[in-house]
Amino acid sequence: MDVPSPVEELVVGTLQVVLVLLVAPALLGITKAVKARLQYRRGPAVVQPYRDLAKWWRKESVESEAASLLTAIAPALVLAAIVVATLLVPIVGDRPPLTGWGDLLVVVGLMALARFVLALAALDAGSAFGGMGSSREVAIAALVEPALLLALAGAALAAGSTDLGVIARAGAAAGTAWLTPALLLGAGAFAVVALAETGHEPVDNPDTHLELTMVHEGMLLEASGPRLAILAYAAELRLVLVAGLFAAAFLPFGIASDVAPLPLLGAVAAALAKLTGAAVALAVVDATVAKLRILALPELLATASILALTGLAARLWLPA
Amino acid sequence: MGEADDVIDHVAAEALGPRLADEVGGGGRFVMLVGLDERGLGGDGLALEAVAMRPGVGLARLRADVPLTAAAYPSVTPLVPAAHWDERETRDLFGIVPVGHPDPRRLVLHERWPRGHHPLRKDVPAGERPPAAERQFVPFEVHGEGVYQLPVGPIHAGIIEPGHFRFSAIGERVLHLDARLFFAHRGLEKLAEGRTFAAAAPLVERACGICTVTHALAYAQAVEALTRTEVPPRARWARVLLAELERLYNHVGDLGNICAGIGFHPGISRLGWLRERLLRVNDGLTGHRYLTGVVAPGGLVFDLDANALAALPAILDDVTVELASAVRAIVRSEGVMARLHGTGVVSRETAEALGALGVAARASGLDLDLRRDRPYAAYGELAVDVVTAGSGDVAARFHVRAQEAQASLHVLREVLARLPGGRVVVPLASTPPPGDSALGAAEGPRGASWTWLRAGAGGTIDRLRLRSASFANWPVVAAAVPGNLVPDFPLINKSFELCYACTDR
Repeated sequence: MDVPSPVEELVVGTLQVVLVLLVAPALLGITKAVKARLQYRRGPAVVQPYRDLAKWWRKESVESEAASLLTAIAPALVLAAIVVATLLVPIVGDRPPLTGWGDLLVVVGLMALARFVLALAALDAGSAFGGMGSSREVAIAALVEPALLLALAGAALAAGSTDLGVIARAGAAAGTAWLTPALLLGAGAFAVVALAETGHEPVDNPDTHLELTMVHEGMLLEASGPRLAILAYAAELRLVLVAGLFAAAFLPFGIASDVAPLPLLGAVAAALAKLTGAAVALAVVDATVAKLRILALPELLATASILALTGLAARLWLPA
Repeated sequence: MGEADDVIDHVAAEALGPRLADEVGGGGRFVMLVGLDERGLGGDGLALEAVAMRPGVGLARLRADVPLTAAAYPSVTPLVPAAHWDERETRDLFGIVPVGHPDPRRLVLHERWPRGHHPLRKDVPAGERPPAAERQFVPFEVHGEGVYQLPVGPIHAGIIEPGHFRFSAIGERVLHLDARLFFAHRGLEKLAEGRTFAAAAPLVERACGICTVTHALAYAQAVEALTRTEVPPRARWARVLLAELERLYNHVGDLGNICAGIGFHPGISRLGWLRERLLRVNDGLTGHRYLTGVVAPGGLVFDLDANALAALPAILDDVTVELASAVRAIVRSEGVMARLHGTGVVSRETAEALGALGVAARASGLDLDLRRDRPYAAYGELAVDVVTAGSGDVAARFHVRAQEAQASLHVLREVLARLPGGRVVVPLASTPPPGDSALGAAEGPRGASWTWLRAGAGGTIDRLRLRSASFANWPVVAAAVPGNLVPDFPLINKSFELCYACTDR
């Protein structure tokens, strides 16, 4: 496989950066629109999240009296961590924009960093709901992260590398042979974990107004104005990141390896199709599933871990 | 009805508690405590009346005089716990102190109201705004290692009524819940004083937006008992129709709200849409989606729309099928039922002691329903199925509601088949002598709501008290929560789905 020139890499990388940053709010818009349809509602327009971001951006930020410097810098830190993580995932081309800067462990670590900073910022405001949201988020995260790594480990083992670009290339080259039973178990585990990671049912209800049940929204209750806009945008981007991670590891088909207009166009279309698919799937789950009792969440996430472990065991001990 | 209630037992203030305890201990049920200022009728002091329902249809009414200065009496709450909020309310509004009450904090008038200001006393003009006092609310909190306090409301993230909930929790486990209401206190009872019976009716009806028929009915029946007015048959049957329509849309909506408590959207959507259909039925029949302005003393303000009435049977059939199907879909969802079972348990003993009413009582095994136990309107000529359950949890309240909604549909069909013709309203038959009093009651979607009414001079109101089922049931909610998880509170709360406005008045 020939290594693309720096210019070609720049073109593909820029394409992914622009695409990801632009479509992130639309993904949330699609989820909301599909969900509304499934609930016999007309629902907001797909572009509503863009309007919301613009609205919050224009408003002033109201700050808690208890807030420290952390409240001021947390939104930037959260967004930076998520943006860098998306640049490490091959979404359009098979070489992510920041090729060589980090593997899937770094991506998972950056996601954890974003969550950690957000949880701290939510505590910083000194309100009970922020603290409650933080404590729940961190408790869930402790179960999500190992399950996430285990789910991705199957793909990494198959490709012989934890570099997401290598994994995506291996998958794209293998075609349908990539989807071994072991890998599908990992994909199933990842899907369950993704619901927790993106704050959807049955783990969290992103549409609720019931403060006492909130997890992610609870942490955002004290944020307002541009800070809320940044944190909301980071959450939208996280959805792209998780969907992109899933696609890179388990469905790396249609990804561009050539830098020519036609393959690139196809790759963009494939990426959009995968992201839209993820948004629709989330909407369907949200619209049909009830929230789990919070103390039952460990069981759900443990199930995901066991699913992933089974996949790993199958790969290691069963004949290929 | 009213006629049988008219015997008032005069007792000494010290004997009020023991006498009431005898009534309740002998199979009766506590109904309410009413504070009175006798100066409006030429007397010179205050009084208290305790009402209990005796087995059968009779009421026990125990009245005790209380002096104006140093107004106090031995609290009845230690003997009859169901009276605890009534006593606190009477203390706030009349300054009658229940000595030995286990929770002597303010209830209706929050701490910012100055000491010594008791608005329901006759020497306080309606609408007076005394200067605010510099006192703070002292919540009941549990302290200890790892225990934290979680204040919620009165302003919430959603568009709901105002209430402040103070949780003491350890981890996600609630140790104690202190509910503080009465943010929506409008002084309706004071406003009604001096009005004619007809002029007070719209006021009573608007105590709450979704129990309008219940309140209007309880009030109209108190007025009719007081004025010896015989309501024409068509109005009596139409009142049953309206009351059941109100129960139906409330129950359907409340079943959907239970789904909202756990984020189960199929239930929310289907039942929300079904409720909307029922509201449109209401609109067609009466011109008002929430049935306001129809029931009035003497009958109905106007007859029901004939076309809408003719279309009703077919709609009811549709609703029956869709409701059964939606409920089946909810009950078959394992994830939903896992959340409902064992959550927010109210034991039969607790429900009994705190005087729970309606669904809250029946789901804990208390077999009571005014439609059967003290029939009014045309309920005496109808067979009403009283649905009970034993487990007292959210699931029990869900099932009781679902079955009651189907029973309501059954009653509605029977009413449509037997609805007599004729006029729907008569003038009030007489002007009651000042000092005469009567009670009216109706079994609403949340249980029995009572109106206590006393006539003043020339057909006006001397004193009106509204005691809604929500008022009776709020302390039961607070008792249902400890031991449960913090994020389960909305679900538990929604399984009662009480009104704030008709509690606060």
